Amino acid sequence: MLCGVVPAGERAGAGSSDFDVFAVYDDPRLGPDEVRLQTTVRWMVDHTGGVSLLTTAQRGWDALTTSCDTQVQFEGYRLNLFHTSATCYYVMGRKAEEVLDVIRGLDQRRGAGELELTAEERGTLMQDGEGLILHPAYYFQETPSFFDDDTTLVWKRRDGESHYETALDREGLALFHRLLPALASNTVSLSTLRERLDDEEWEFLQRMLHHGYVVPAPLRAPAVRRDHRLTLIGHSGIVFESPSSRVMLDPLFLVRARRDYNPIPAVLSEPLDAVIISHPHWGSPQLRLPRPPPPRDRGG
Amino acid sequence: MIPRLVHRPSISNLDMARMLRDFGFTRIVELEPWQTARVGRGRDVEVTALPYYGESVGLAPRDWMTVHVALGGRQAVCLVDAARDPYGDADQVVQEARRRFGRPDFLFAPASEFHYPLVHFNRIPFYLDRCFEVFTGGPTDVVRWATFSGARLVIPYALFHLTPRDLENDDNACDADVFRRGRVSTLAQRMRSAPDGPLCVMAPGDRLTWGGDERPLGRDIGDGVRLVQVLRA
Repeated sequence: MLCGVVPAGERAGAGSSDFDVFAVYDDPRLGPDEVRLQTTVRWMVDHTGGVSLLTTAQRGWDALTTSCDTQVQFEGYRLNLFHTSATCYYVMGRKAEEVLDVIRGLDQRRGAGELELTAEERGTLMQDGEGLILHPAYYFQETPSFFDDDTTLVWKRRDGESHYETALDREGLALFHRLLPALASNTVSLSTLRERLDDEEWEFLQRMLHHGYVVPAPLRAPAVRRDHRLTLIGHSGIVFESPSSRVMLDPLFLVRARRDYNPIPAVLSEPLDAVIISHPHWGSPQLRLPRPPPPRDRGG
Repeated sequence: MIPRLVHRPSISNLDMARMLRDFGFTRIVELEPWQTARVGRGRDVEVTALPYYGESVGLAPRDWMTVHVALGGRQAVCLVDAARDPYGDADQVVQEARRRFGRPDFLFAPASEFHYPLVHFNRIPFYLDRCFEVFTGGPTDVVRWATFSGARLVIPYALFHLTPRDLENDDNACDADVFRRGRVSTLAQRMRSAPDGPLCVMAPGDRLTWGGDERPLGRDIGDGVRLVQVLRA
């Protein structure tokens, strides 16, 4: 896919600007005649610190929405746009200047035929600001393969009109299932996710983002609890929780994630204050997760 | 938080503090048996290291720990995978814990009765003389620990259950089952005759809650404790 953004003029103010967006798609979800989009959008920093794109012209938009409905992708940037209303399109919650810098840099390189993001630019676009959540327009089904270990992951639109299939091997599926609960809860910020996921998991998450199956969304504040809890995580793993503390005994995260339960939401949704390891049977306490909390989360 | 290394480190008694430092952990708290530490942002979780007897290879003592956790006015004894070994018995631990802390509200008791096959290197005559072949507690042990501890709730765990489905398919829960004799059904039968400690079977994901003033979830299992079957509802 080729795509790019052309700033239409100088910024109108400190927090907004107009520019043209165009994209040339080879996305199979688009019809053969829907290869080009050009429209003018206006960006603004919203109350969450994210960037919203508001359409100011509908040029070419109808053709796109016919096929993509609620989803628009500008994959070259790894910016995922989706509308939250008829005309509001939401971009990943980055500082507007940083996003524009990247966009301008891309636009300059577009002339030279270089459209890939540099690692630094990708970092700019993927920094903290929001959490991620599964796109509400999609759901997915798993279909085990009869011939090998691969599982077909079928993403379906809730309106039933289109779907996308991808084959995941056992490791990929396990990875997906480790990520899924954290994405469903939407109480984990991007930076926390980046900190707690390894490179492989992060790359997988980026690919889901790239395809639009997860989208940025304002973080949901964790509910305030007043009760005390202990939750059995699996084998000898237990999470003890008071209203102000979380302590885990024997973190047990088998690499082979199970399809019907994954302990990550109970563990990753909020910081742990302490992890108790009773004995070093590494088949039980796996130290890859959870990692030590960031300094700001350390209190215990 | 880990048990403090007291004996000489070896392949059966790993230097966990050193390994954790190698992993990048910097705040490592080491506890000796019966030593207590308060943790958490509110310093409201009290963790006490208890001795660990079980799963021994019979070569040398190991510095592992079971734990006693107190929070929210309740206390739990977690025996992890313990049972007995040449150096001691979890019976002593349970009895001493009751003497020091009183009746626990929750006793997390290993019930897997895990044993190793003949080919396993652990099964050396030295070890067999003392412990036969069982490495972790089983249903018979749980019934005895329930009596010794006087626990209000006895929760069998460390059964290699990782999902609610594993509990439903307890006879064939995982690959480790070839080494696991303990079954929840067996324990349930035996616990009917236990004088203390009603059996509370929890699946992975299940939660015990108490002390909240919000709309309570789950079912009341007595003494102000509710069991929330998060993934089985």
